[in-house]
Amino acid sequence: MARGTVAPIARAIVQALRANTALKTALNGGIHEGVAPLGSEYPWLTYGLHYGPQERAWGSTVLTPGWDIFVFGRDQVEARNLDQLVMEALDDAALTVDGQSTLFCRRILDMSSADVDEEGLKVYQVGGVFETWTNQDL
Amino acid sequence: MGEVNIDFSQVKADLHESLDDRLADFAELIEDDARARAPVRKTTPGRRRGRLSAFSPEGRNQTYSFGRVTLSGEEITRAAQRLGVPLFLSMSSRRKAGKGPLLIRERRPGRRIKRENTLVRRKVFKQLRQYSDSKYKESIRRIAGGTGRVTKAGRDEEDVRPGRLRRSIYSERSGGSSMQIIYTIRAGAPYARYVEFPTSRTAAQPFLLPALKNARSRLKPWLKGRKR
Repeated sequence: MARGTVAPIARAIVQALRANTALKTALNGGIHEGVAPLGSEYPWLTYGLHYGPQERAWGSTVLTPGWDIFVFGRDQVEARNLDQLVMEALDDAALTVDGQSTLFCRRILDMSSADVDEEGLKVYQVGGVFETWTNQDL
Repeated sequence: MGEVNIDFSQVKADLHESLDDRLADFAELIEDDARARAPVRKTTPGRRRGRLSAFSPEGRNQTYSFGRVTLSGEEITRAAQRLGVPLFLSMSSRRKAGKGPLLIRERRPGRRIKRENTLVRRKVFKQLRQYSDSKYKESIRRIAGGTGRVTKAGRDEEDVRPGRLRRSIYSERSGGSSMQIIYTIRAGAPYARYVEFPTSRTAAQPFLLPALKNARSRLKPWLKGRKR
């Protein structure tokens, strides 16, 4: 059986995020990979692969990728509340990954910062890195 | 704010000199890996930007003031070209003095139209705030006169060279105890975190965490003395 990549894990993460109705409804700008398109409405969420090492053991491959997941909002309280919903959706979640069994999904790093956008208004970025461990039997 | 630090504090071992040496080597390995991954701008800003010149409705003989220092348009243009990022009078000061907007134009090779570079203008105003302090007046004069490098401005000039992020990566022994050795890999460039992590306008180009994670499986054999 061919070894899998991180693609099904990304799919599973997005599915888990979308499954949280409160989060999905609150994200007016939607969920985007990498960056949101110019002109997107706040708040929005971005996700992206940060690192993706593969460790090969006898009989299986363990993928341990880290994912950047950030909420961007005009209001810091709103951004933090949404980040809490992301935590609820993903921290220790049992992700359904095609062809791989999930060992865990955990937040390993928190980050937040503020920036000024093209309109000169403040933007708050809250989120962090989630690490997922998946195992695929060979 | 601008630093990304990674501790691998899980590494616990007897404080033994050879082990410490091996860990130092290992930290260097991660450092090299991170350096190789750190993105580097491909062209130098000077080459890409073309020639900058100050343009104002009052004409070439117009003078500009920074705090107590007054410079001519030509002097400022020279300073701009020398520094990479030019220094000009802020828009609000001009407005107060009843003058029109100052445009910063660039002429790129191969382009017929001179247009205002708003990005550079924004940088200019930011820099002006920094340099308007009277203690920098001599610095500004010296830059404008083209004599030698000047304290902070000189450093900025050096940092215009591509590869600043890559050069700013280093590892160091950062403490520990008799049961613990801690090495830290750092990227000292103030904008490192905006490269490592995504922002609202840019996607992430990670270099530190991937280097660390890729090294994880190599740590144990390395400590046993088997380099691979």
